[in-house]
Amino acid sequence: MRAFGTFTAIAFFLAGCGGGGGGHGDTNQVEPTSTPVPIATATPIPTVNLVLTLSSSVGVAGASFAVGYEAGRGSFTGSGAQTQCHLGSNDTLAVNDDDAGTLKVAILPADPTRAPILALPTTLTCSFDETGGSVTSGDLRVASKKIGVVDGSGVVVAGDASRLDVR
Amino acid sequence: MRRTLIVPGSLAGSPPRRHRTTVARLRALLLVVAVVGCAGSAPAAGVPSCADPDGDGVDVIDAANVLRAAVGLPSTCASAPAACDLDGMQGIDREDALDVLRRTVGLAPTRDCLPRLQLTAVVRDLDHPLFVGAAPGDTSRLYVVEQGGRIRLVKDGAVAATPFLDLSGAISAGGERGLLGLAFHPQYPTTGRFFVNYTDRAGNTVVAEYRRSAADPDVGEPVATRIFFTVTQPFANHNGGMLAFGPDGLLYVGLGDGGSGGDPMNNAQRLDTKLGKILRIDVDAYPTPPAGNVIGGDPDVWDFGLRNPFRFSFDRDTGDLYIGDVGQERFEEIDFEPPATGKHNYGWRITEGTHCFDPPSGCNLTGVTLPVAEYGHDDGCAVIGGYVYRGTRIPGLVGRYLYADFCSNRIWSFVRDGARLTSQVELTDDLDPTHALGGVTSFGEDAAGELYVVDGPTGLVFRVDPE
Repeated sequence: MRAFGTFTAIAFFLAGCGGGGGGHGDTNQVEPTSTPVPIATATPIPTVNLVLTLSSSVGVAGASFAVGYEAGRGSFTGSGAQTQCHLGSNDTLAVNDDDAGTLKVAILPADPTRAPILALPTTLTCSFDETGGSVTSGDLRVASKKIGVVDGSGVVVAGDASRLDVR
Repeated sequence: MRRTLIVPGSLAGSPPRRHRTTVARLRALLLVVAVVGCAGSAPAAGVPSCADPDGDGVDVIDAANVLRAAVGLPSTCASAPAACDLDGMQGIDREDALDVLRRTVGLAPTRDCLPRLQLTAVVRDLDHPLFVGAAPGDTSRLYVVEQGGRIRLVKDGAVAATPFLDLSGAISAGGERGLLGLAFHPQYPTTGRFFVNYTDRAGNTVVAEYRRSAADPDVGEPVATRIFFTVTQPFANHNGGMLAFGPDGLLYVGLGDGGSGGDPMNNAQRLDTKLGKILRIDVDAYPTPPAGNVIGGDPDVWDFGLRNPFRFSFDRDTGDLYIGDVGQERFEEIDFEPPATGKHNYGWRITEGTHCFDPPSGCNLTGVTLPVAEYGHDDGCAVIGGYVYRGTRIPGLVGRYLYADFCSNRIWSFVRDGARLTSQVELTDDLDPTHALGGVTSFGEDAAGELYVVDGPTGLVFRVDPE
């Protein structure tokens, strides 16, 4: 959400008709006048970086979870895939903020040939637009956690999501 | 010239078939066969679908498996490659994984999935059909070749009571003999010329020209206007039979190695015989050979080293030639040829598929063009070469080559992308979930490029449709 507050008046000076009409000298000049025109400018919305720390006691080959927040207090900066989030590692991140209280997050290893599991612990930092008061990471609710682990045959299967800690 | 060999991994072994669903069984009762594809309702647990190789819904575990498959690591995609190669055109790659990751968080897909397909029976009650085709530019008629010697006209969906042509009195039929091939002149609408390949009463191969009746466009004149050649067949089997005009306007003819087993006369490697070859003739100048044929042997030879090229086709968009060459006892192969190259030695009897045949080891592969795809006889017994789909009804299938096996009725597909094959997918359980096909004898195209499957034993012709 964007809030608009103060107005700033900017004077526009209207240039008079100069003209070169000959013969009348200074008597032909029009005194310039000014008209104040109000236009809107945005008041910067307070934004804050909310940081979640991800850790796990098991190797995680992929993870997803949802981050809930009070929509009345704002939303993550940007929307959908353009939500402004980044990982503290080089792993691959996908995010989707619905601007209505849920940010979905999924993470894959950057290059499973080099590292088949996520580089944990790491941080997930997302910018949050505080349109309804201040928000901290403690206000976020992490839910719907899911993790994949590499099983004995080398494929990724569902793991115990409680082993992924997001706070 | 040697080609890079890419053996489809999904064909080398015996990939598990997708589970059949009750819904699919019901569909088959209606003779409409459906693919478990990527769209539609939520999949049943365990049934792979697009972006969901483990069949329990699209999630980050699927994304992780697709990513692992993209870089060659073990994954659940091994048993469900079609579910991981989302668009079916590039092979499983990182973009597929990123697409699944996007789906995981509810974002819109960036890649389309392989389309859901079905086989729709469009012609019935045929007598051992072996081929279906159409005349250029005529979207209202199909012509079905019956092994016994009749060409049946299907006009606006109905089989005409009077055959377009009846050669049953001139041919020998049974086993691998019969009326085997049909091709229409590129200017058929004006010339009325068409060409057939059959085994005569003595079992020898005849390639002949006929004409459409001037009085009735729905029948052909019963007497040939020209016999181009007759080839003595030393044995009853391996007669080839395919006819098709290439993008150069020349007629290509598939002839087997003369039969028996193991090519006892070494016909396929000898250039002085038409046996074991793809021939190329100019129907307007015959017997003068067109420029570019093999020199130093039979003047009609274009390619050699073939055992039984029963079905081949040209990609109507690129002119590429795909040859299904039936193998001996171990391997079936698909050969590939860029336009206007010719003079390829496809290996038989030196090789069977990509493997030495004679001698059984240490064979000299100099000058041999190996197949681009092969499969072993655990997966079938006789390859039926198909077509690259260039129709308009199934956009997601465009550019994909389909082929099948006569014995197992398994249907596979791949995309040739430059020098490599990508997206090798088995479509059997998609197209034929109840395994109702009795014996795929051919694929075919109509004038619009739509694809058909001919089922000999059941007398049916199916069209490949979007579901």
